[in-house]
Order: sequence, then C-alpha cells, then structure tokens
Amino acid sequence: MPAITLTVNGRRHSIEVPTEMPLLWALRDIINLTGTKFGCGIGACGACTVHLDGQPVRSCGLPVGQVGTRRITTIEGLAPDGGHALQRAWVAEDVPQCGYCQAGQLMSAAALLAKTPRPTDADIDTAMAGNLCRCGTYPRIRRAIHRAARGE
Amino acid sequence: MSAPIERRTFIVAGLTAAGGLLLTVRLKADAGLRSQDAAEALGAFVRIDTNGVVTVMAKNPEIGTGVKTSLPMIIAEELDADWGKVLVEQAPLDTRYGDQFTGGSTGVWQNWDLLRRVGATARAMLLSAAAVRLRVEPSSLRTEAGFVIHPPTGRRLGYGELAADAAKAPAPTDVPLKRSSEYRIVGKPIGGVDNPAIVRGAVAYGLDVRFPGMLFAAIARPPFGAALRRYDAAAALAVPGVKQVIRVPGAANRSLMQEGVAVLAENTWAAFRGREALVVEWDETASAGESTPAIREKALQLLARPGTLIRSDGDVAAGLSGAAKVLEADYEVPFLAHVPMEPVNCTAWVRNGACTVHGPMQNPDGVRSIAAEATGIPPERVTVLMARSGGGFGRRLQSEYGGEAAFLSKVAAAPVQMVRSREDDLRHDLYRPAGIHRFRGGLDAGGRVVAWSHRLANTSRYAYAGRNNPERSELYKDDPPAALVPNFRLEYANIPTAIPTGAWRATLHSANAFAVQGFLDELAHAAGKDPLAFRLDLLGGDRDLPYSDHGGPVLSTARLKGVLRLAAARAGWDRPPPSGVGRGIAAHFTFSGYVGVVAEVSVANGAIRVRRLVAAVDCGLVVNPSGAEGQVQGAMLDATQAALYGEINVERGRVVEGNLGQYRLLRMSEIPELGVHFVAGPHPPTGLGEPAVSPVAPAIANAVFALTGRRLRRLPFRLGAVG
Repeated sequence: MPAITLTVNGRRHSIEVPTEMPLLWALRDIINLTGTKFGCGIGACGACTVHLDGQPVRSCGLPVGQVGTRRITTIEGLAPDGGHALQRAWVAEDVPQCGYCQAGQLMSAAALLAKTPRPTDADIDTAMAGNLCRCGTYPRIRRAIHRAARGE
Repeated sequence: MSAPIERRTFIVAGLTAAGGLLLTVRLKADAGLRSQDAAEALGAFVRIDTNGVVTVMAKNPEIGTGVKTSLPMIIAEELDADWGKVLVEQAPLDTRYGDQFTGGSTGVWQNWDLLRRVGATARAMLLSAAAVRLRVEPSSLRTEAGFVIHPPTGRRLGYGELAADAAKAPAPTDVPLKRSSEYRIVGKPIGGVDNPAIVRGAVAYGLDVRFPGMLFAAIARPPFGAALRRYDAAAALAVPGVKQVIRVPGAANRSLMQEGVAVLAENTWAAFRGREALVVEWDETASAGESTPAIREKALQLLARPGTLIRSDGDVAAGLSGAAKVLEADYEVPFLAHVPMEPVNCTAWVRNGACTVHGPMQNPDGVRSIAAEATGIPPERVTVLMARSGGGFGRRLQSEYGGEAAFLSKVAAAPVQMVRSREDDLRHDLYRPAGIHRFRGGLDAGGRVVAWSHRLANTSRYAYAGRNNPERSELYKDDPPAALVPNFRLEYANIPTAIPTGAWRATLHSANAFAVQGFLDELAHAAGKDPLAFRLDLLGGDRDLPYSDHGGPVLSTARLKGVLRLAAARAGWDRPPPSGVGRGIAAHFTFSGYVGVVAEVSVANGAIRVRRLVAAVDCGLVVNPSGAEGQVQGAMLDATQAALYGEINVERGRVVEGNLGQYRLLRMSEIPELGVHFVAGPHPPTGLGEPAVSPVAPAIANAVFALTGRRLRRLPFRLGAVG
C-alpha cells in the first residue's frame, strides 16, 4: 500500500491505508484523533464534520485518497486552546447534553460564521440542517451561534 | 426497576496521600441484601487537597441527563465549596458508591439525602478543625465558598489549610443540613462540568476508548428469531486488516447474548468491510413470520377477549350500560428505536483471569454481571469503567453489548472494541413495545366520566427479557384516571414475539400517556367541556393518591392540576389561538415528576407543523436550572420527533428502516418554539430525564383535533391515515 500524506490541524501524517478508507476512520483509528465522531456512516447526521480548506465536509463518506493536499481541520484543531468564539459560546450557553454530536455541530457552525459573520436564524437553520442532535440542544445551539457572532 | 435499597450510611474520614481530607462513606445495607463485606467497603466521594482543590466523584453514569454535574453540586452545596475549585471525576463501578444507575429519572432523587449528608459531614469536620486551630467555639464559625470564617475577628482559613487536621478526627454522625434558602450552588444554573472538554473534542466516549493492540469487531446478526445455519469466513479474512472471525454463541435467553458471527479487524472500517464480505446463512424458519402487520393482527385478536386483570374498581360493565354516552376507540403505537447518537458499542480486555469493560452504559452493574457470565470470570474480577455516553434513552439499560465485547476479547485474546454501525444499532435495538390500546368510556348526563375500560395488547419487554411473568402489565395500574373514575378496569395481554423490546425513555409512560390523554380528550369533547376544565374536574379535590409501579409512592392531584393550570396560563389557554392554529393540552405523572404541556399546531399541505410547546414542570426543587431546562426542552423535542416520525417496521424478521434517512429525527429548522416553566414548590427534587416526554404526543394530537376535527389515534401521526 502506498503511503498517503494528510495534513491535519497543521501536522503532516503519513499513513498506509487503502485509498477508499473514509477519512473519518483514518482520523479516528489510524491517526488517533477521536474528537470527530461516528454517527451514521452515510453523511446523514453530521457528527463526523471536519473542514477541508475551510469547507465543511462529512468525513464518513470521503475516501482518504480524495483528500489530496487539502488541509484538514478537526475539532481538536478548531482553536488550539479551545478558545474559538463558538467554543466559548457553547460553554456559556451550556449547550451539550450528551455532547456526542457537538464536535460536528461546532465545525458546521464555524464554517457558517467564516462565511456569514452575522447569520440570521434562517441562515443558521440552513447551514446546520445536516447536523442532527438526538438530545434536542437545537435552541441552545442557535443561541450560542448568535452569541459567538456578537463577539461575546 | 428494583426498589431503592434502604441503607444506613456511615461517613468516615481519612488522609489523602498528600495529607488532605479524604471523605468516605460506608453504606450498610439492611441485613441480607448484600454481603457485609461488600456493603461496608469504603468509597471516596470527596477529596480535599491541601491546596484547596475539592475533588468530587460523580457516582452515576453520564448519558446526557446532567448527573455528572447535578450530583456533585449537591455535595458541594452542603460542603459550602467554591464551585470554581471543584473538580469532578467519574467514579468506576464500585459497591462503595451504592447504586450506580442512570434510568427511571432516579439520579437526583435517590441520591439527594445521601449526597447532602456527605457534603455536610465534610463541612462539619472542617469546622471542628478550624475551631481547634482558632481556639474558638465551633458555633462561632461559619463557612463560605471554601473558607471557614470567624466573623468576630474576621479570620479566614481555607479548606485546604484545614484538610489535614480535619482528616484526623472521626466523622460526626449527625450533621445539620442547610435550609434551601441558604443554597448558593443548588438552584443556580451551572454548566455541564465536561463542557470545556466536549467543545475541544477531548472527552472520551465509548467509541474513543483505546487499549494497546485493540481489535475492532463488527457482528453479523440474525433476523429476529433466526438461528445460524452456516458461515464461511474466507472472504471476510481476505479483506485487508481483518484478523479473526469468531462465532458468538447465543444464550438460552436471547436478551442476554444473541447468536452471531463477529469479524475482528485492525480498524473499524476493515471490520465493517469484513462483515460485508462474510458469507452467513440463517435458518429463518422461526423468523419468517415476524412482522409488524402480524403483531397488529395478534393485538386485535387478543383485544377481542379479556386479558389479565390489572385493576378493577366498581363495575365497569354496569357503569358503561348505565352511561348516558359511551365512546370506544383504539390507539396504536409502533415499535420505536432509541437511536443514541453514539451507536451501541463497548470495549473489553480479558487477560490474566480478569476483565476490564469500558464503555457507554446506563447500568454498569448489569454490564459486570453479563461480562462475567459471558467470560466465566467471577464478577469481582470484572472492572467496569463508565465512559461518557453519547445518549442513552433507555437503550443502555440492557447490557448485552458488554457481554459481546467481553466474550470476543476472551476468545480473541486481545482487547476488543465491539462497534455497531448505525444500521446495526437501528436494526438490532430493543424497541419500545408496539401495541394497541382499546378504550371504552362512559359519561353520565352531566358529562362526568363514570366508567373507564382500558385493555392493552403489546409486545411486553418483560416477556422479551425472559422474566418470570410475561403477563406483567405494561399498563401502570395507578395511572390516572385510576382512582378518579368509580367504575374502572385495566386489562393486559402480551403479544409473544421474537422482536426485541426494552425500556425507551419514560418507558411505557411515553406510549400510554398518548393513548390515555388522547381518549380523555375525546371524552371531554363528547361531554362538551373545555379539555382543561374537564381534566381539572376529573382530578377533583387536592389529595395524595397511592401510586406504585414506575413512579410514586404517591400522586398528588394538586400538583398534577398545578402543572395543567400553569401550562395553560403560560400558553394563553383562555385566549383563542391565532387563526389557523390549534391548541391542545395534556398532563402526565412520570417517575414522580408532574408535567403539563400545551401544544400549538398548524397544518399545511397535509403535514402537521408543531409551532409551539409550553411545558409546566413540577419536579420539586430544581437542582440545576440550566440542566433542568435543557432536559425538558430535549424531552419535548424527542417526543415530538417520535410523534411525527418515529416508527420501526419489521418484515420477515428484519427491520425495514436502515439508517437516519429512513428513521427521521428532527432538524433544527423543524423545532417548535419551546416554553419551559417550573413550579416553585417545597418538595424535594425528582428526576427530569424523562417526565417531559409523556404529555407531548397527546398534546399535539389534541391540538390537531382542535384545529381539524380529526382525531389522531396512531403514532406516528399521519393526517392521511387518521383513525
């Protein structure tokens, strides 16, 4: 198997896996970054959301062979100290219940704010439509995104 | 669920390695319940280090209900700790902590007294040490946020400075507890203790557990009731990364270990691919007839004749024949899946005659028993560690998955993480039982309920678990309108099936309340009465009614009326709803919590839109208002998605729905406006993980009726198929 080089959170990793292996499993089981979560395996829940060159993608359906040179950002690399405005807002609004989907929620929200710094509720609903939360933390996710957008 | 064990509690003190105070608790079970040795073992709840840091152990598993925060808050309150200096650690399974269990909304109310005494004992010891140090009377001292203070002189000693001295004295046996007016932590909104780590992706859930050299396992599982005929491992073993294929023998009781074939690999993806490649043939003789239409047919057959009598007051036949008006209706509920965001999984490591199980769970003691059973290792050699769970909703009360991981680790001679894909999780769940409720209700000329007959046929979860009495009722005998109607009768019949069933959030309260509160609404309309006024009349004067089985020990009619009135007031029940909007109300008593809900709905293009849900909640004292509000919001949304979408269908022993495309959950854009209002009352706290689920579906159905005149008697709601 030829080695595949991935740039994850600014670090280069050379891994030997089949090119069809989804990025999710390369991150979790090979590179041992377990912050990105497995929820459905078909891109329907958003728990596995990471950024490729800043764009949100579902890592469970993306073969590692297709990543190429694009920079991967996972929840562990969203802000090195956990100090992204959204991370602070998530804590301030006490968003998580079980917390399992929240890494994906944060990655989708971060991509939204990067493009739309002051989103409306409708912007948020659209951007976050692919991220499911079984616990029902949606009202607080919305509040936390607005809080982060206000720069609090 | 077992009744809480009465215990005497002894609190003793010791030194930490660093010289701080180690507060431990001895639990002495009543004679005969547990061995003396196990019951009197020591458990460390609180550690105060000399630097002032207070470490509190979280005794129960955290599945998202907030007990990892709320239970330590109770200790910290009585200790008068500075919450900012409190560290919370997850305790392992250990008899020293007493019952460790997350289910039945029991976490807060079953631990309230114990944890208050733990905190108060530690505080009393620190006060004694300070009195000696300062040479003053203990009564002249007070405490505040991690300090003992001597007000006359203004001298202050930090808990860390006193910890070593405090540890040397024996723990007092009878300590005063605070009045609720003195609370500084309990009753304040406090964020989840794991939040800062969760938002960094730094919390280890079950799937994040890693042991060196660990293999990942995916199991091919049979249709419900089928048996393994043969399998061929060659193709699976040819998949790169696949290491072993292991047959999992079924236990005689399928609910404890289901037959299957496991593929073990170096990583999860290879295990899934290996399982796809695996050739397995099942003998489907026994499973071919298992289907949801067949369940429905069996239910209708069973309902045609009397079931097991659960409760009988007065004479229902006479009451119905003498009634001015009689209504009859069937209410139908489907199988419902749990769908925790973190699919079921568990990691185990068997070595040197011992076993460590680390995973997401609600019932760690069950995991230990089942791992011991599956490996032949004595329970005392099984260590159980609780990972934070990505949701539970009752799924992880059943612990068979822990046995699978332990068994595979033993056979593979390696640590094993058993992973269920979403399809596995959805298709091999223990579903909320499906069934049909049949009602006959009689009204007198004044519109009062004089007779109530309720017969349920469903697929009993007790029968599936193989417990002694398959006819144990899935109706709870004291649920209102029990004791409120003079002629009242409950009957139950089990539908035998191999389709697995278990406890879903709020257990059968979530389904029964839909049926009961819907039929009550029918009676209210038939009586020509306002649905709120009808319910208040039915509940009558303020009194405590005896209540047992999934709640109790009493049901206060005053508190149930209180949440009806508060929900109605906050929703503006007295004013007509906006044009095109229907409003419905329901209330239910679930695990000692009272919740009333008003729903507002509209209908567009044949689809129901839930616009607003207003809940009034009486759970006694609210320990953590932030967590409590979140639980109620989440429970209402959970109930809404179940009411609108939730349904598992079975054909030839196989579940039709495979993943989240077919089994829909609510999206952010679909959520209603949510109002959550707590009744301020003098009662001690009760749990909140479940109670707000029960009244939501009937409130929505009742609102749809108010708007459209169409009565929804089947979950999930479909306007095209109104019963």
